[in-house]
Amino acid sequence: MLYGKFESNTFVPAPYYLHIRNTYVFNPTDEQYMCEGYKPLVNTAMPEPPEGYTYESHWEEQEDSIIQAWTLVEAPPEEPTSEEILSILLGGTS
Amino acid sequence: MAENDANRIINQPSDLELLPGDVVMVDSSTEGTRQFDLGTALTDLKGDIGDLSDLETEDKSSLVGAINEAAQSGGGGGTSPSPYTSNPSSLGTASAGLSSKYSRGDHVHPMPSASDVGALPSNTVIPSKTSDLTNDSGFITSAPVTSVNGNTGAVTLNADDVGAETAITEVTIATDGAVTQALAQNTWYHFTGDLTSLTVTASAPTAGRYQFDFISGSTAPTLTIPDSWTIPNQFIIEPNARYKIVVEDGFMYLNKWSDNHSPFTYVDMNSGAYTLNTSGVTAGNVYSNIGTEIVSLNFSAVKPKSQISNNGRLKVCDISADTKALIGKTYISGSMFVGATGKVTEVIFNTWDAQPIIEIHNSTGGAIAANTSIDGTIYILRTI
Repeated sequence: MLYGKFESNTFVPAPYYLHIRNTYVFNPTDEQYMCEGYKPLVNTAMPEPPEGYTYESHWEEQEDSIIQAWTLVEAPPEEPTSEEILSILLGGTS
Repeated sequence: MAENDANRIINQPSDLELLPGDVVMVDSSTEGTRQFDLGTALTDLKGDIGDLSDLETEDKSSLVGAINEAAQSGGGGGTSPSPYTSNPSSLGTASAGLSSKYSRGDHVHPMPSASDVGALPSNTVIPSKTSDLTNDSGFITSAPVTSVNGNTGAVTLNADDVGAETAITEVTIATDGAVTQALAQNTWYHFTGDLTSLTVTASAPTAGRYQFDFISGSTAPTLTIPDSWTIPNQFIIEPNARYKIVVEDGFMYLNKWSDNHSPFTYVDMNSGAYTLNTSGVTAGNVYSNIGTEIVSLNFSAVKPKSQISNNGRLKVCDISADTKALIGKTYISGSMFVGATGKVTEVIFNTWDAQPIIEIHNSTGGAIAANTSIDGTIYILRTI
């Protein structure tokens, strides 16, 4: 299970060890993570975007977890292939 | 003395004056009544005593006086001795003496001197303490060693005091589940159980040496250590592995190896002790399970053989005391070691001509160039 938390509205993934009461704890338990303010990360599948769009991932804090959420954005234009670039440089049609 | 009447008999004379010719009757309870002629008796007695004028003593008035004089003079005849009136002679060599005089009973000899009896003079100083003596024999007057390695008094030396290697006691703890253990110095703990969590404490975390190893099973256990230990970078406990952790004066060093394999140990070529611990290594499978790190090794940064300047051994030099254990060691391919963060300034690795070139890789498979700094992460030596 992965954990994270929000600090000043910024998502912070949990480190691989915690500093708890004069100790370093490696592979902390779920309880230890949650006692330190971390919440479990819940991954979700990206929805199927419409034509010309895509989704960008971000994290949204819930009461007991932090869920992966998706924002629909316009898809960036596709990069020309090497062949297309070569054709343009040679004056051909694309 | 007057003549008495003839045949006068006198009984029990008392104060009666006796005259020659008197017959004296003596009534004795033991001898009965006896009688004798006084005149005859006196004649006999006179004969027995002798003529007082014949005495050679000065006192001739009576026999008693003569006897007393003789007694006082020690008897004998001749001139009567006189007492010695001078002081008695001092003590000396035994001698019969020549004086004809007698000594008086209360005479006193002079007190002998110390020399007379071979004694020391009365003013002789008798030593009462050792400092009064002259130490002409060279006896030790102060401790030749006042302290040993800072210890004074009744010193008990330990291995550190004489620079000896401290014996390591090995302890195996096979408990499964959650285990908490207070670590003792110079003790190697083997946690061989199926751990869900391991919590270790140390009484003096930043001093001395602690070491332990444990098995990370299919699920990596939670490891809790003192935060005063300086941990190496990228210290991640993964499942299905075995970890050995050594803490020297608060610096934590890590060895990780597969659960099925013992780690490769370095060979100290300097000492000539070419010992390689291969116990537990599966034949023919020496390197394949060391860890995922070597899967993506990058061999592109091989140090050219022509640049190797010092044949003979892999050498790590110019490092601080915290990583001094690396000095002079020869590391074989597959060995892992941990550099202390910020402590290592330079690593030079050389090898010998007839052997493959060895390079150092970090935990992500990247090759480390020679003469570059390393940090506290895990490094692996690989044969090219």
